[in-house]
Amino acid sequence: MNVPFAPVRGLLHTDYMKVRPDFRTIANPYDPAEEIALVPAIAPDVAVFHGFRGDRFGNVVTSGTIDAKLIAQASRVTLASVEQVVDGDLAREPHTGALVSGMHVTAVVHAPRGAHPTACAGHYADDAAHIREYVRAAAADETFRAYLERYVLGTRDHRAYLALVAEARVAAAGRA
Amino acid sequence: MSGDFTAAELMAVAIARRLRDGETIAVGSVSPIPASACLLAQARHAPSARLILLGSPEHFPFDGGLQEFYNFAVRGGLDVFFASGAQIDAHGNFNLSVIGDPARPRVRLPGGRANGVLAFVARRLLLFRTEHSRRVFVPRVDFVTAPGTTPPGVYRLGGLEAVITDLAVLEFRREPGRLEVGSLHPGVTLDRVQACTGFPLVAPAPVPVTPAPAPEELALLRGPVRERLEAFYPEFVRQQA
Repeated sequence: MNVPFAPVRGLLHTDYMKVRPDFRTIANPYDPAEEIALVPAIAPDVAVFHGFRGDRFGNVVTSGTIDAKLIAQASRVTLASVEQVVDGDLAREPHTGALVSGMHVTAVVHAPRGAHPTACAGHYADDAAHIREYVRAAAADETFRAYLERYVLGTRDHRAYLALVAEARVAAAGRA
Repeated sequence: MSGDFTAAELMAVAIARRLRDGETIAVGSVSPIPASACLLAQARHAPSARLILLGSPEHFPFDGGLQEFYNFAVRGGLDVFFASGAQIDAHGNFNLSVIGDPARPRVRLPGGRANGVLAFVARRLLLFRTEHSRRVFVPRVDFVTAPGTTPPGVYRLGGLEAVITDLAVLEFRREPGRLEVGSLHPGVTLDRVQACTGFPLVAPAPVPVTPAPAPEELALLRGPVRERLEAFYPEFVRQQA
């Protein structure tokens, strides 16, 4: 929409109004008896989301529970990773979930299990053991750096990352 | 906790009994006890309740993401909304944002973003907390994520109704804007609840006791409700088993 701010019903008399000086209070111009909060627009440079299917036009079908349509319309660059790339035109086919129009999408990347360690609805559940490992690692800078080094910076690509995750799972099962 | 039920089961039953048939009820994420309460109510006395359980794709009737859910809520779509509270004070203010000085928080919490809006628009806000302690029930919250009461002229369709804990049910009285003891769970004394609460509590005399779960309610909780809950709260179900 490219509007500079939005009125919000709520937020008034919360401490968000104190810690965010850019949140303002005005009298509703159409009903001056009402106080209303204003918040500035967020215009991300890049949005990234994961979807079920994508096509060569950039159309992506994803879960309707995430705000993919919203962030795709708000950002300058929108990248989608998908479980599957399909022939045809998703915008012309019936679908379940939400369709993010290729008009909003800059690039689609084929990345099966791309939501790991979180879940991809209808495809796979979250990897609770890996999330626990991440949470433990994220508690301190040193262990977090080691996590990044091992899983992110130290892997050549997403396939290598998934292979390492599978290896770690087998090792953990061996210890149990 | 006495009897053949857990604190989580007692809380779920106490919550379920407050839910009415035909209501539209939403539960935030990381809230397995209210989610089980909703499923219990739907299975027992509220078959026409409409449930929105965040985290469960099966119970999210929108395809426009949380944006669509918020729009629905702000328009007045929610009869009931559930949230937790890292800190709750006597005036019904609650904090799900930061612990400590907001400029240098000791703990930063993830639950604040929605509640600064949803607490204004849900007609009945129910808070649940499995730890009734002085670090939760504080004289003054470190950060007001949502206020118990607001002055006239502020768009507010509803607000806090009650807080359900592992020890008691605290009812929020909008006049005079204060949390009071509603009922004590079986086997819990008023002294104990007061000792675990960081502000003076007002209680009726005699203090009602939260009714224990009926065998039928426990059977539903441990059978069909647990089965449905497992799809989106597998860890919680495992811990409860």
